[in-house]
Amino acid sequence: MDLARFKQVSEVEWQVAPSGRMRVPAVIFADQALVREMDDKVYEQLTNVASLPGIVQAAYAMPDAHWGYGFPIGGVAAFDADAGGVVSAGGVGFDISCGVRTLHTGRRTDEIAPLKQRLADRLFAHIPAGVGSTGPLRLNAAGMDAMLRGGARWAVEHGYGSAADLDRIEERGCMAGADPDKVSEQAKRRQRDEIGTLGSGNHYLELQEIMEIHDAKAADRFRLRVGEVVVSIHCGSRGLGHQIGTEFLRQMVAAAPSYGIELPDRELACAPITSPLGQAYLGAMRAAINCALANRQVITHLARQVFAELLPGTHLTLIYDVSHNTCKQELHTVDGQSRRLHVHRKGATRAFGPGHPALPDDLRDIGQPVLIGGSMGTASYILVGTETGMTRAFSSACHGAGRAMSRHQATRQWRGRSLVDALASQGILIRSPSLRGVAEEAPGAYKNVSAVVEAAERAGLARKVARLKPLVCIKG
Amino acid sequence: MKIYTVGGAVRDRLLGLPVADRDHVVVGATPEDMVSLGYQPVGKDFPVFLHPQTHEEYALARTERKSGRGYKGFTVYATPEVTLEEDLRRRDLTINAMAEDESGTLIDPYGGRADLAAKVFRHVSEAFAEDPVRILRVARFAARFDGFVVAPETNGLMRRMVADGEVDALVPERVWQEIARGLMEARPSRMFRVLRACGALERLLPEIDRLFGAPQPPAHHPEVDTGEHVMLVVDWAARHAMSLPVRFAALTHDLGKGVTPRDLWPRHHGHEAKGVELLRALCERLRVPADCRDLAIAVARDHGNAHRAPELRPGTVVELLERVDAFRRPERFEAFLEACECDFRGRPGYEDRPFPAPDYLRQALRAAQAVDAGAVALRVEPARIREAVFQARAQAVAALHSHAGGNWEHFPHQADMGVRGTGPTLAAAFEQAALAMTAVVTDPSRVAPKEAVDIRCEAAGDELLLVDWLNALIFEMAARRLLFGRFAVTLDGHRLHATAWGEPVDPARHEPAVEIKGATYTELKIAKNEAGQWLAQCVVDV
Repeated sequence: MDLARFKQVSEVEWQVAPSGRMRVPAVIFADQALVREMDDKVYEQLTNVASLPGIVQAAYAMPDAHWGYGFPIGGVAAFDADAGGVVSAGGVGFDISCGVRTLHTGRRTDEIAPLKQRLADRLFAHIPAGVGSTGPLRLNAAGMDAMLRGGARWAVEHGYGSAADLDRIEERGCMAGADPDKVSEQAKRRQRDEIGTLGSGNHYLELQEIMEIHDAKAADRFRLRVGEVVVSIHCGSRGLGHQIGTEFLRQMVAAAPSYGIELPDRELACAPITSPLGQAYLGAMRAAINCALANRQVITHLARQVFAELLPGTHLTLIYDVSHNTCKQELHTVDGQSRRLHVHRKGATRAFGPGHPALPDDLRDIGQPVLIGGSMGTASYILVGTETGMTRAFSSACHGAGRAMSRHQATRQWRGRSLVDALASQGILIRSPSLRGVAEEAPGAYKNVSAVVEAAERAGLARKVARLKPLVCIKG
Repeated sequence: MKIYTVGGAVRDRLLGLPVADRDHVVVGATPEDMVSLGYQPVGKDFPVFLHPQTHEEYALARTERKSGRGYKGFTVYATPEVTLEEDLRRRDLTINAMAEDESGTLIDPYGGRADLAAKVFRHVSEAFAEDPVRILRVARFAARFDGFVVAPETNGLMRRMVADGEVDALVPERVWQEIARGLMEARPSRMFRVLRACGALERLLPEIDRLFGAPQPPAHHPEVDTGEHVMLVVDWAARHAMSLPVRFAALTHDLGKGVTPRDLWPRHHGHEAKGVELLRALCERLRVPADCRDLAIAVARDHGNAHRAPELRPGTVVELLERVDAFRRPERFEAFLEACECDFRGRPGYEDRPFPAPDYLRQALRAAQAVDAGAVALRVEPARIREAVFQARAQAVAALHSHAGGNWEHFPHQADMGVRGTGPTLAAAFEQAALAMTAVVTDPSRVAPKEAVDIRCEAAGDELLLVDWLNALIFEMAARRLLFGRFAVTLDGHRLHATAWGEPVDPARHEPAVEIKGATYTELKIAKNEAGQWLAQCVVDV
């Protein structure tokens, strides 16, 4: 992207002043190299977002931003309902509440090493992954609605995990305001037997070794020690979320003119927050958030079963669970005033700093763990929310490396089999139903996650706590 | 002498139907009286005359008495003393036994008008039993008059007639004549149901009777029962004004299913070949005319192949075209396709599904016809000409698969994938875009067309319709865990109706790379290029 199009505010902040239809500035948090590598579409999409009704302060792009649909992936935008603000199905995305959770095993790498192959095989066999797979539950209509209302709390009530898990999940494991009646029968039908499945694409379950500690105090509070092993799960709301995204996007495209909203790009389709369609979407989207939380909770349970079988006495304790495709109502201080805003995070992680009331008691003084997913061969990071972040982009940070290369290019460059062999020689075991899927997700197809995290820290969005390296990756 | 209008003319007038033929009865006259008035005698077995101007039929009132088996053994009495009531009494049904005098007064001694109102076929007297053709007539009336039922006592009488062997004595030509007329009525199925209810179907057309009670796989035949299927097929043919040969072919296409051993139910492997044998015997027995027979045999033998045509190998398609004589008799080939369509649609829920086979076979015929057989013959030894022409035709049909339908490709999007279809029509471009979407997941050629899914959508424009079409497929793929490898799209404005063929995901064989979350409005475009090719594209989220 041409740097001349921006005003450089700092080493890691780039701004586009409002012009034309833009109502607020567009801001990218990234270093020069990352901005230069970004597709021109990010500029176009971010300035489009800045033109939506009721947007507050600025349209933000995280260091891992890339070309998405309507909103850039890695985009953050907040809207004020009282100022005609909108909610956008495209601004949340198809995979509603896709996110990451990380659990302690409490085991050192040397304890895991002899069992690595067996753990990989058993996890792959036990956790449904890939196209067409089904989960351990079949939900009837009442069960579906209860799950959509209850989220991870519903899962815990049904024996998947413990109440202690709920404290370490955003919204305490249950998103308020979910309205299963606003979720179509088609969406529910897509989900009937998908609870407890990883899905495909960039979704995974990994065993990771803690390689490096960057912030001793926060690491101590998160109980992270070099040489220990954690489990990370990356997946979302499955078919239900995809169908909700599809259906509301369609409705919002059709309804936008009736709300007097002119769309520079159909994918930006949105409706006023206070409109019936906006409220219906929020009800359905929150149900999808619960679906994602329940899904990760059930998968957690499946992972615990495998550990109990192969390494009895291991307790997988939840460090935190974050979602990165959401629209949430939050209080933020804007120009010294506290305002209730609907914050869209599309491929961006919430990163509450110390003292935020939404944090569990035992983490409130240190800040929220921010989990940054890697890509098979590359590192993952655990960050922590900061005070400064709360004033930057509505307490938001990056969510992962972000793609540098299309799937199309990736399949031309890599072969699944040789990739699996090459990673195995680095001590990383890959298990996947699809070799082509592995090639499309090749580590080389992603940006350098370390550079992304570095930029997020320098921009004050979040602070590095630990770096993790994959040992085993179950790939959907 | 007194003249009355009788029979069908009176009935149809009361029903408010157009009156085609007007029959008259003359009471109190001799043949000589009629001739002296200028009427022209025409009856061979009984005295009937044509009016000198109108040429309508005038019959002297008569009574008839049975004197032998079958419909010919009668003794006729026609004298000036025979009354109108006596004449009406020899008629078959009360609704046909009414008369009107010249002033328009209705004479209805047997309650015909009440039966007309109640929609009942009721025999006038026991004399009904004297002519077994009347069973066929009642059945034919049932096919014509909507909602009429046979009175229980009339059905009982017909059953006794069947038990007495009356219908066995009917001459074949007369049976065929009545069946053929019934097939041309509005609801032919009702004829067969009436014949079945009195047991006559078992005597006259046992091949049809046996189909009732023979089950078919519910996945392809929601109606299950073969007899019910055939009834739906003949009615569909009638509703769509098909010709007699097509309707007869519709009636007889599945005869083989009636002789499947019960332990093989609901499968009927090889029913086509068995059906052809039964059909030949039936046609011989009833002296079915050649045009009806030949089409029916072709349909009975090859309707299954026709349905599967888009999935058949090119050589097999050419063999099919040769077997149904499509190259020499294109008009009969059209009739063949019509009958196959009746078969396809004669199932609940299939009435307006897309049925691409006929268009595909027409295309294949055109492609094969375009082969210059003379030029091919010059290139090879005489002994190999036949084979060489066949090969050239097969190649022409194969080319249809690879070109005419268009092409698909992927285009890059940073996180996801773009799908693009091109084709000679917008519908073809939509089909190709769907193939491109399957190719995001797996190699489309690895997906076997084992299941068909019906898809409909409607949108405000072509672009939105493309997104809806792909999202409808994504939903079906996800909810049914299917992959699709073949598509047939029909477009009517911004309404889409399509069939997608595929099979359940098999991870080992399909190696699915990713699941598709949704089709997006990103890079969404519909366009037509200078070469007249349509293009349809968008990005799908994976």
